[in-house]
Amino acid sequence: MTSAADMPPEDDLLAAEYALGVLPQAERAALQRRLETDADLARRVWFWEEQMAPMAAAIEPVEPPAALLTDVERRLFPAAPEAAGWWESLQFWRGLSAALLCLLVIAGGLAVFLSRPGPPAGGYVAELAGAPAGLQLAAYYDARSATLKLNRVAGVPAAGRDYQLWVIEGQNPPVSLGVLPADPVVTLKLPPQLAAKLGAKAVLAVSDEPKGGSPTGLPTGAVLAAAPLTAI
Amino acid sequence: MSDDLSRLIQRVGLGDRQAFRDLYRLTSAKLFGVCLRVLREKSEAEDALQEVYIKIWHNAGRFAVTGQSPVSWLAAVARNHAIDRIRARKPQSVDIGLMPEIADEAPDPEQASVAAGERQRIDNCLGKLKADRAEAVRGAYLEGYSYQELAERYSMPINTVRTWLRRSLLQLRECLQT
Repeated sequence: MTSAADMPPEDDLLAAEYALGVLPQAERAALQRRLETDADLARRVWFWEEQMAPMAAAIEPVEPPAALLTDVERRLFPAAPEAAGWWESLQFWRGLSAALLCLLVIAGGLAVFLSRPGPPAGGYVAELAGAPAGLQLAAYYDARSATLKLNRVAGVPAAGRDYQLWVIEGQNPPVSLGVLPADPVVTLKLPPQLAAKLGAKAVLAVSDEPKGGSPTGLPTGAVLAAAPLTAI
Repeated sequence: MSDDLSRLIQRVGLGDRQAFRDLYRLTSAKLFGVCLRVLREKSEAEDALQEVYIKIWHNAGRFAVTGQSPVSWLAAVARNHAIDRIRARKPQSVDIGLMPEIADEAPDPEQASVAAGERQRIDNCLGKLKADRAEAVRGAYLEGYSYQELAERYSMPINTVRTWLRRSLLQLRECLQT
């Protein structure tokens, strides 16, 4: 976590005033705009919010009107059918392993039967899971569009550290795919020279690196999780 | 409870509607209480609560990066929204201007692992402030008082209130981090 010592005292006080809620509207709005881009300031606001939250224990719960949840759901999901993408469903990722196994068995059978490889696959997945309660990352790579979708289900870098994603082809040294952004769900469009490295047998790995990524171009910290890409 | 809420929020972040419903059932009375306390009017607090849960749905994916406990995160979403609403309702024209420098004496603050066990600290630390100052911090947190309202309540110029409240916040920080 960002220490208050690393930032102007004025900013830490502003973060505290914001978390407390005392700022006038114009200052409040100005600070909210800064929070969109200033991660250090955001971390100080989170710190103050966390520290102050126990005061809320003094607030009596009040049951809201029964219809309110329905109103919220109507606003969030106007059309009844599932609008949330399969991509975002944890159920999907849980089911995937089983489905993959079936697919592999079928594909293997077909390949033997036809005595030739199956059609070129366009989609790959990898499920990266580190130590229990550590990093968990689901990856889906679409070779046709050279896009890599990442969904970080669990894990946050330590203070002053970043997660860095790597691709490893066979015995070659890891090649960086970049530092994972704070947003847990991201879509990366890969340039052709990197896209060429992703595919069956390539391994995705995440390492713990200094903020901004490895200074050497190779992993310098612990590898937290790694998994091969598997065609689907 | 805290772990259950964390898991629910993470599932909400992945678009799980059942988890959203469960989270609502477990937390809506508390968050409605928060909105009511700040907004003081039932129908407005109801509108605010709807928007709070819409924000929770959209922002749940970012919960983990804040490092906050689920209860703190939820309370902050509700309070921030209620305070935004009440500030918009009562726009303040007073420019409180540049503040006099306050000496920052905290030498090496925050080791801040904000572990759950440390969270009752705020009460101890507020107890070390002068009674009226602790009351002002609590009033601002619970009732959503702005500097303007605090100035009126304490019959002091707004800049004076801001200076002493900031001193209190510095003292709090020092206490919270030791």
